[in-house]
Amino acid sequence: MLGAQVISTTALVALLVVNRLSPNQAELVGDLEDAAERMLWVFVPYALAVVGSLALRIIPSTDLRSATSVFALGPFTAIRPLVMVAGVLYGIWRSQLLETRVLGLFILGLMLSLEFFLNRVVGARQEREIAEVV
Amino acid sequence: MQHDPYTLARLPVRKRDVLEVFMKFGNRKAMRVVEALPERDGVLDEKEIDRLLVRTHWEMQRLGEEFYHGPRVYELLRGVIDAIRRSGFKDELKVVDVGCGIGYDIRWLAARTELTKQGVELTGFDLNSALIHEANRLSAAERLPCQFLHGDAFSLDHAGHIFVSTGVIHHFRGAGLREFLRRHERPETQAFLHFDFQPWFLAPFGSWFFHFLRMRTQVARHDGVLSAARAHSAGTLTEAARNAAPGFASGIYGAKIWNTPAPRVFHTLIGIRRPLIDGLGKALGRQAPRLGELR
Repeated sequence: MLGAQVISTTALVALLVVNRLSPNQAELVGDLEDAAERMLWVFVPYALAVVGSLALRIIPSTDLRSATSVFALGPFTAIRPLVMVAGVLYGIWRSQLLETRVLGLFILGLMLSLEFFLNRVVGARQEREIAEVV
Repeated sequence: MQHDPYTLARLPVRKRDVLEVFMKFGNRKAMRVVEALPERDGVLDEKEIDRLLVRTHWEMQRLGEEFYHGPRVYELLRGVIDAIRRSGFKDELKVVDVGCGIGYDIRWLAARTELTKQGVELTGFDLNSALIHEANRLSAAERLPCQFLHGDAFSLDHAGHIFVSTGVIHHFRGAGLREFLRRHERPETQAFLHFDFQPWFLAPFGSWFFHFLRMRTQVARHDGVLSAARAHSAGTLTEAARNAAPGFASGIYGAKIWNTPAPRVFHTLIGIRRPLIDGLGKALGRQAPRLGELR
């Protein structure tokens, strides 16, 4: 959760800084909104698929619940980086302003790096915990 | 890891010897994993190996949780216990998990079911003391009504009425598999349930996929794939059980998903005393069709 908050805050700060420094602020806001709307066409179906799979786990069937992992949640984890790249690129592809594209790529870099850093942090914490118990 | 077969004391393992085993099989990936293991004067460092095993079992528990393995074990175990009770057995029933690791199955049963209030004793055994220590630590953290012991699950001091295991039986091959199953033939033992990967052509790929996604340690990732590849077929398991433990009617439970030809990831070798077969069918109810031929 903390990692997501850090990434979100960093992205927001970047957005505010770029907007502040841009000579075309009104145009930039409109361009960013258009880019975001295009990104939703990729991110919303993915999110719905994930939420839908999780919702199936309400059904009290061990087979169905584990099948949601085998056929949905596991594969969705695997394609998550691809979805991030596809969503951002689709969003910024038709942008009018360079600032929009740079922001998009910067935030994409933040999102992709989050999992890497979280794995490192959690991995290190796990090593400390194991050293305490063994 | 190696243990003295009589005292169960841990024996030193030379890294070179382990590498030679994998060299014979041409398993270069395993050799790379072994090369990275910590050693002292050519002998694998016991404490570091124990840490590696605990780390791996922590990761395996996450997979077990994701795939609802606790409920899967309980669904079948509950039916077996019911069948035994229907036969008139009223005393405390001892369920023994063979090679329990950090005890996920037993801890899940202790935490999420009423079995211990229904006269069932839950015990896990493992030959590795570090894993048993971790199992007891985790159990104590939740004050669970179960116990974990370092030793041989089939020793005469610990009579199990029902033996269970998860992901263990594929480690026994040929004569070793038959000997493992023969040891269930004790007067007090009424049933056994051994859950393991079901082999089919996609199993190693599926195992690789999920171990890559959910695990960090190279040993866990590699062993997960190897386990799926080494899994015994239903025919091998039932033949071994029927020959080595003829006092039980043996078969496979849960080979296919519902009424489809699609195989389940895990199947279960079940053995049960013949007078209990009818009771088991009644106890399983709607899930009785998942039971293959018992003989």
